[in-house]
Amino acid sequence: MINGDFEDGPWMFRNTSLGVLLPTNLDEEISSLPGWTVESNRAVRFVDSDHFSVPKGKRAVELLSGKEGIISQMVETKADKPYILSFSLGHAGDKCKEPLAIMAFAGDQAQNFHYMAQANSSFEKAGLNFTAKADRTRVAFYSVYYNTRTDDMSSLCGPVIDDVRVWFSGSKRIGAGFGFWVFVLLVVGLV
Amino acid sequence: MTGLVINGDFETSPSSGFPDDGVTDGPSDIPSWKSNGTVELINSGQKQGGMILIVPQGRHAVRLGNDAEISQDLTVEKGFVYSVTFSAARTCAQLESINVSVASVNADADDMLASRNVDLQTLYSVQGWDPYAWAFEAEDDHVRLVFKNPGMEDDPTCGPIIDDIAIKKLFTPDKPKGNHKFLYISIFDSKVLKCAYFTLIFLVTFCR
Repeated sequence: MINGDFEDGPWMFRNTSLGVLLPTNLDEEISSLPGWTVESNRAVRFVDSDHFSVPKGKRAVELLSGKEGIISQMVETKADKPYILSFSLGHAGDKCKEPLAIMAFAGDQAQNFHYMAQANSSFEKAGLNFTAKADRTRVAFYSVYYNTRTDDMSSLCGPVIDDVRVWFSGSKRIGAGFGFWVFVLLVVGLV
Repeated sequence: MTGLVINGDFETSPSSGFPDDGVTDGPSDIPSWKSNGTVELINSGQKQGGMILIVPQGRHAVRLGNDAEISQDLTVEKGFVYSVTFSAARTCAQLESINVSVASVNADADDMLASRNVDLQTLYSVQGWDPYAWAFEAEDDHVRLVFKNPGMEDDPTCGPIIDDIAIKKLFTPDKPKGNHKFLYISIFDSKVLKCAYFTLIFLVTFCR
């Protein structure tokens, strides 16, 4: 995926604690969030680790406005092959009222993921198995609920997603097998 | 260039000092910016009709009246994608929006390269303002960045407030195009090729 960890994005001021809103943008080639489009009429929020809880690195995306805030990316795949969409789902640490949940789409699959509050972490890892139907597969996320902050009851907030990856399901096993065989052959060859 | 554009926070004092609540009509009254129409430098704490005007950052910001605009010429690298971050607030109850665009410096004022209307919604935060981002592809090394209030409100003192304008060149990686990774996947996708590959390795190893 391009920019699946959301580390590349618009300029953020260190002293601004509101994140940056990313309004509708349908052009993936010219996007403030490289690789991603904001498909919906409403914006999503680009957040920084200085002011929000971010699962990985310094940046992530907070989904706002329920179904009215959708981000997506087209990823290259091979038709009829199995893949895993993996990502981190978390709480932004901004007093957002739970429950937090997202809907994740990948190829022929769509699934709800509910965020369960963690004792030592602000996020959890999640994955979705899917089969690619073509050589380009759409991956998309939106927030299931319309969340607001508990302190003012009106500011929009929502679940945070980060570290989005698409894996070829078989690649890990083959990779391990390949490494193992190379190792075995090297040993045998040396002996 | 990365970060605040020149006087992007509007904190640089005009040669005549900051107006108390004066309306500047002439050009170049805001240092480093060109203005057109009713463009007003506002101070934090400044009131209007009993309402305190919102200044997102620092002590000063700019308000754009009906059809008013401010612009600044920027030097960029042709072919790259840039993201513009700006903070904006509404002043009146109506839905306000702001038009951000880039135009070629050498061409006519109407010759826009890219343009976007951004709706300003206060629902996002109770502070009454939010930072927004918009991206454009530089089709020239010199572009004019323009912020315009496209609205035509009955009350000419209505209009969005903008502040903290920054720019960043984005790093957009090339899409993977049939590279070795795909070759690798296609070899290992095929059981026959996989078998052949491992058999070859076996043979090479044992023949030594």
